[in-house]
Amino acid sequence: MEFAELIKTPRVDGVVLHRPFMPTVEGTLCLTGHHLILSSRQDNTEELWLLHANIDSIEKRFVGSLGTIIVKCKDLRVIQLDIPGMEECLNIASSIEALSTLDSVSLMYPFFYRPLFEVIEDGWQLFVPEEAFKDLESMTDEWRLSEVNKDFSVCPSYPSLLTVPKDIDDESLCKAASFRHGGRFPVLSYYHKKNGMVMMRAAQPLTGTNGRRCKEDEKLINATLCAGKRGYIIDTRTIAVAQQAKARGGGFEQEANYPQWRRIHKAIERCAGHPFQQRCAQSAYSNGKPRSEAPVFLLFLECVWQILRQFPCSFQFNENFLIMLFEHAYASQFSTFLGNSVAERVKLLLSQKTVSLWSWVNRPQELERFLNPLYEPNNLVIWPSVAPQSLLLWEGVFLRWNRSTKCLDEAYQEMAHIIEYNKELQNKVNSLRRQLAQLETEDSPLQTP
Amino acid sequence: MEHHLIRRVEYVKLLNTYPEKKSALGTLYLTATHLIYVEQTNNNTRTETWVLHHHIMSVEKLPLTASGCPLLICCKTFQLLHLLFQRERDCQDVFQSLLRLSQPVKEEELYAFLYNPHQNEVDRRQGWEFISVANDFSRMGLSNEYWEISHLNKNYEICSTYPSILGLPKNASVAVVTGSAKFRSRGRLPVLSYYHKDTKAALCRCSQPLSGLTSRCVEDEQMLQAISQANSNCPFIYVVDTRPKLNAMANRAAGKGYENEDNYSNIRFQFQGIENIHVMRNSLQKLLEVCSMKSPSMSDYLTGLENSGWLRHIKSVMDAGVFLAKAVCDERASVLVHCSDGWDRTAQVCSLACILLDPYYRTIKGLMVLIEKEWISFGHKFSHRCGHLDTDPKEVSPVFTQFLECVWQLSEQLPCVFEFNERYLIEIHNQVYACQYGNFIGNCQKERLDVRLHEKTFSLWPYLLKNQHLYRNPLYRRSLESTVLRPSTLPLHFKFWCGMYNHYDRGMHPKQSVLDQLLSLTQKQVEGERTMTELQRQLAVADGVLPDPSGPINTPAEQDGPSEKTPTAPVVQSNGSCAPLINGDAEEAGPGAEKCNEKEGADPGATEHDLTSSEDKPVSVETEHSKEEEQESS
Repeated sequence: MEFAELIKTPRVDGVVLHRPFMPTVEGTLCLTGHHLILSSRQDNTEELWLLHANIDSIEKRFVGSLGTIIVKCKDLRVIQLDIPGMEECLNIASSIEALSTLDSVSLMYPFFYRPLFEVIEDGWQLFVPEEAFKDLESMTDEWRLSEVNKDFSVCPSYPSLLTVPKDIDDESLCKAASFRHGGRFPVLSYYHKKNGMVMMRAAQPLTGTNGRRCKEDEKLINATLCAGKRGYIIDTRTIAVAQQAKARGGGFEQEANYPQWRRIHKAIERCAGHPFQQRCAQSAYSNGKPRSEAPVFLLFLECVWQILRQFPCSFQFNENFLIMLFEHAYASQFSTFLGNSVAERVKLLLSQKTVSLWSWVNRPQELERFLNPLYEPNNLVIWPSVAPQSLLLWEGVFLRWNRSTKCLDEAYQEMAHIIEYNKELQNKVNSLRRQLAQLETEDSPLQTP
Repeated sequence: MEHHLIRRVEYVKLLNTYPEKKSALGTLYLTATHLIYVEQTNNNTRTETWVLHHHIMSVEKLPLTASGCPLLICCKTFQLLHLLFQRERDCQDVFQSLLRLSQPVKEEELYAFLYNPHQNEVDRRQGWEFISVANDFSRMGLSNEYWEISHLNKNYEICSTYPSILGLPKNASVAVVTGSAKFRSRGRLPVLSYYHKDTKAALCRCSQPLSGLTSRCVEDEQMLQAISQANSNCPFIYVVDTRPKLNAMANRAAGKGYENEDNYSNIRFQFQGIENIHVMRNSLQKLLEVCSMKSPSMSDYLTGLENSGWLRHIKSVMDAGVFLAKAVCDERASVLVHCSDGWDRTAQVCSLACILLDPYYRTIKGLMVLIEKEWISFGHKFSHRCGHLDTDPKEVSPVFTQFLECVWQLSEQLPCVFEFNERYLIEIHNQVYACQYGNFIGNCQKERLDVRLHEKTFSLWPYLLKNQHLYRNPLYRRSLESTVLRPSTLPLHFKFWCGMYNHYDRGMHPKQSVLDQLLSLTQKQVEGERTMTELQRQLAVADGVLPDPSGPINTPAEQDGPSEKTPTAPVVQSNGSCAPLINGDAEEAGPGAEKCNEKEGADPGATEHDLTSSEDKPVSVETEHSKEEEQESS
């Protein structure tokens, strides 16, 4: 197979591994097509299994014939390997470099990974647009599921099924798509049950310098507002950037053409929709970073973490869940974050050839690690504080490898223990009450002759 | 007497910290002790904000605006009140009254001298005896083979700012003690702060020597020798000067300075580089400017925080504390610590080392003992440093606040080792400045004796102990008790303490409190365990295993009933049913020290969320409110 050509030295003995806050391990270093493995061949020492895909950059140093490779990972971990022999070290380094920057998606680990666990719930079947639409239908009849993008021809980066206003036909959708960058015409993102308000998403309109307009686009957007209602168009670019975009055929909505709408510019560096493959190819340590890369998904995860910190009882998942998503977005045996769009994923036959992250996560033994013991279901809207004092460094990700978490883990365990113990106690009390009640009903006839 | 009304002004606006939020309209009252603001709200609820006059740090009249005459009140508890008066005259009146009321000139004008928590003389005396430094010496194992409790200073003649009882090495003669005192600034000779039983190493404290450029003192050298000899486990002692080297050198020119290693046998001398009270005062000033910025950007905030230097100073104190603890624990070496006068930096560093070394000081009562020992009795000048009276503003400095913050930083890094939670530290901080109890009035023991503080005021500690359930850390694990704490002092472990410096900006804090949740669970646990025992007993009686002490079987059964019939019993509620119990009033529950029932909207920081809907209420900070909402929606 192809990997063998890239692996110049598959095995080196006497390699020493240094990791922060862990004892050093001496052992044998092995390179496989997808992993860097260090094994001490002793039972009680932890082995290192590192996906090449997780490697962001490496540095080599030599002192005499002892080589050192510093491996910087996309999960922000930095490890050091001391490798005896200059040639071995150079070979290992160049092999890692080649294996961690493979071009072809189909050579990625998910295509080779065979799960050792039994898939109880197939993650690929978990999110079916038809099911989601049924929920929506139970709340409102103003929306329909359109198959206009069935073969990804209207918008290659959108999914095949899209929720759109009921009164807008597919032909209008096609016209609106031609007026939006990348064909990303306005579609439903979220429906707010309590007041029927919605969030829609789209790419920038192609107004260009001439202020081109599109009746279908206007109609599509307006169809979501009843008479007299007003809406906001949030442009996540600054007004200056939005202006510049006109020169390249892009632009922004003219309020005269969308009279019920007010446009607001909220500067965020780039918008989602989300080409995981491109964005997560490398992470923080890489210097030759391609232009298309950005930690957009990490930013989202961090926002969720900030809200979780302010509302610790309102999330079913805990911080570990978010960290797990961060890890798997950058390097994974699962393919949920492979590819840049549904079309690409369909073409790669991911659902036939690879395993979904959700198939693994949704197994009870894994899920347990990600559940928040403080969670109390609550369907209220939550309003986080955005004051700078309220936003903290996400230590769980950014300081994860720079500190020992022993004490914090103990605190978490203690908290979970208190909550668990309390539940058990209340169950016991309830069961005792039942027993007592039962005894009384059995006894009472005897007491009343 | 204390709630005697001095002034009442109507139609006063209380401006919100967040400019985009609506300000309140209400009535302002001034009593002899408090400023009280009562907000008039539409739905017949009264929200009251109580501010103790002693808590007021500054009152400032701002330039007249079209909407009225603004008055800015800054508190030592880091509360800010921005009031707007309709009439200039009212504003001027209140301004002048507050200037007078917030800056008493004589000690007898302090709140503690008129405050009575409904205790009689016996209670009062017992209250003062409750925390005893002498008992703590016994706990450490004094007197023993090497150390003794000395009464040489019983009339404060050797050192007027030291306590009457001192821990001294047994083999130091009276001549050595008195001679050493004469060679130390303000007579603050080397004495015992903490004795570490396991290693026999001692933590000692003093002020700087009057060494100047060339002077030396045989008795002082013998004193250090005596301290060294009291610990057979180590051939040397560390002498730690907590000041930056430059400051210490400057002092030599003034006839003070630091120990010359050539003159003292077997000492290892070390500087620690903690800045002086003036640098710390300015640093806090800058930090508070950052905290009170209106709608700062992230970089305003981060740059401001960095430029204040505050966390750098906290780290320097922590570093020094860790150095002492390591010397005692790992090298089994005794340590002598001083700064200039040995009552600011020395107190910070010694008390911090005590906390690292001895789990006792990490308990609720232990922290009281520690504060009593290292701060109050060793003459930390609380009156000057806190500005209790209208005196030299250059004497004011947040030295004690920094100590509390170091403890908080430790608790963030090591969440299971303290018996108390953050609220305890904040409550102590508020009480230090409140002068409601006598503990923190005066600058040293002798001064307190002279004004007969123990006869005229009450002690804070019994009050705190009575309320200790509020201050408990549910995650505290006694099994960790025996360990010496080894915190990391890498910069990444130091965080801004929002709970202290933005304490009154409720909107900035997490809207659901894990602490409250866990405290209520531990409370439920106690009830649950009691109920379980009782039910088991009843079952045993019903089964005939136990004789029934209270008559026929059905009597208790009927009282207790099956669960379905008593939906109000706490145990019947579904598990974890406690709606987020967020109630910020707990820490201000002191009887009049500080009451602040300000109701907060839950989204003060929010500027731009409300785009699609104005009907959705945020998850409220008030429990009842959340429940109501939930019922509506279910």
